[in-house]
Amino acid sequence: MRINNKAINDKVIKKFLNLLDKGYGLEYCLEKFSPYRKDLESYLKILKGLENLGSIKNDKKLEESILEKIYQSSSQTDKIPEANYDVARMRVRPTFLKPAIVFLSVFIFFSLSFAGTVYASESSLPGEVLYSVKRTYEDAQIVFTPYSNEGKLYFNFLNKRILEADTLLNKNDIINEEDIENLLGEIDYNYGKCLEHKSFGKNDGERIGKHINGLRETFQKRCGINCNFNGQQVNDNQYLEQQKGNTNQNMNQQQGNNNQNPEGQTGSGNQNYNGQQESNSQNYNTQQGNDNKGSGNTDSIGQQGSSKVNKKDMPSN
Amino acid sequence: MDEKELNSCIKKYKNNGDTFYFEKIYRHFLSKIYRYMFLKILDKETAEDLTSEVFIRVYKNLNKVNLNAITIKIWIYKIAKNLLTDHFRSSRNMQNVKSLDGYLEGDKELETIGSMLVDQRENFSNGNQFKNEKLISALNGLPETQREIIFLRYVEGMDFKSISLILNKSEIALRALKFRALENIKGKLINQVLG
Repeated sequence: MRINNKAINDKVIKKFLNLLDKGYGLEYCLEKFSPYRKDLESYLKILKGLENLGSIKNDKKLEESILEKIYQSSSQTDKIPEANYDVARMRVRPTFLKPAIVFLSVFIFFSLSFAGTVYASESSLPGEVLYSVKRTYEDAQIVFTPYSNEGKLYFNFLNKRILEADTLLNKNDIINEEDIENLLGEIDYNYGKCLEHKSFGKNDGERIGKHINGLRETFQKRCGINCNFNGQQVNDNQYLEQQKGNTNQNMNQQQGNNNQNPEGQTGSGNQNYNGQQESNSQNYNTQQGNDNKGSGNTDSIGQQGSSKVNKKDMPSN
Repeated sequence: MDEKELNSCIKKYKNNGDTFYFEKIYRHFLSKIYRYMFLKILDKETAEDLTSEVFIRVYKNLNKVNLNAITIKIWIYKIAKNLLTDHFRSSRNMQNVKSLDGYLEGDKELETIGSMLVDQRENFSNGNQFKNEKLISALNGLPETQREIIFLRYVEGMDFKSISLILNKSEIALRALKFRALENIKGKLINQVLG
């Protein structure tokens, strides 16, 4: 009895098609599934129809025309320029691309970081870590600059050194005598180079020369006040006591002189004394001003303490 | 041409570069590739162009690959499949999207198909057969993968191993798909008859 059930039909069809796939003969398969012969025949018709599609053939003219096209295209490919061939080879070998990208990225990273360091070192001062970078960059600049432009460069360097010296000398901090001496030496060298290259304007040379002398004087004063020869700071109180002792001695001397001199000359003695005192207080005030600036900028307790002591001990006019 | 002859042709062409052997290989595959293209596109000129493009690629690269009689078939069909994909992508003219009605109403293309078909049909017990036009329209109404399987298995008579290599699918999956495809074709043909 044939059972008209779709699920069974599906299984039967699958088995039937599998048998055909395995290469069994058509009649054998149909006999094996004889109860379903009519249903299976519809599938067979489809399969046979599909097989018939396999008899679609091309024209004989097409055969020759395609052959011609093939040989023409092969002769065209022989004429491809070498540049295209190289591009094709590059595409085939992406292994070269990866290390190239890595190398380029590392190179760009280092060059950018070096440029950043050079930029950061622009405002550095002698004694700082980045100052050597700044100087090395300047040396490299001189090496790669043609002789005709060296004058401008030396003038620029001279300005920088003067600015650095100014900053260092106006700083209320421990100053390293060696650094400033080197700096002044550099200033002299650059000044000489500027003169050699005639890079000064009409009055620039004199003006800058005076400024350099002023720097030198400030340095000498500053070393007398704040530094001993080894660059160690002298206690401000000790210095002020020494100054006080000197003024008292002067006063005593003046008083002695006043007692000895007639009345008309006492005025001059007072004036001298006052004058001396004024000059001392002026010096002191300038020093005090610097101290206040320094104490405002630094956190050093010792420095703040010393500035307070200075205010108390400040001689009254 | 049987497998042995095909193998010897490939070897001789690779060794000597003699175009005579290439032409033998070319003639062996030309009708198959043309049929594959034509049944997918249903446009004679485009099918011819694409077929020529396939064999130009074969000619350019045959020396660069190690092939035998089985693998060369898979290789050439893969080239054809890739070219077809490129063609459909570029022209946005996918066959499963395009309406086939125009082809079914006495279209010239179907006449050419009819003329191409060789009358070697076997008669079954009841003597009825589906018309090729209806079968082609049913075949083209299938999803892409099902159509590929039906074509390669029943039109070209390939084994499942080769089909799995061309379509990059497992043999088990292909068997299941084939059955579904046949059921789909049957359903479409019944609808056509009833409709």
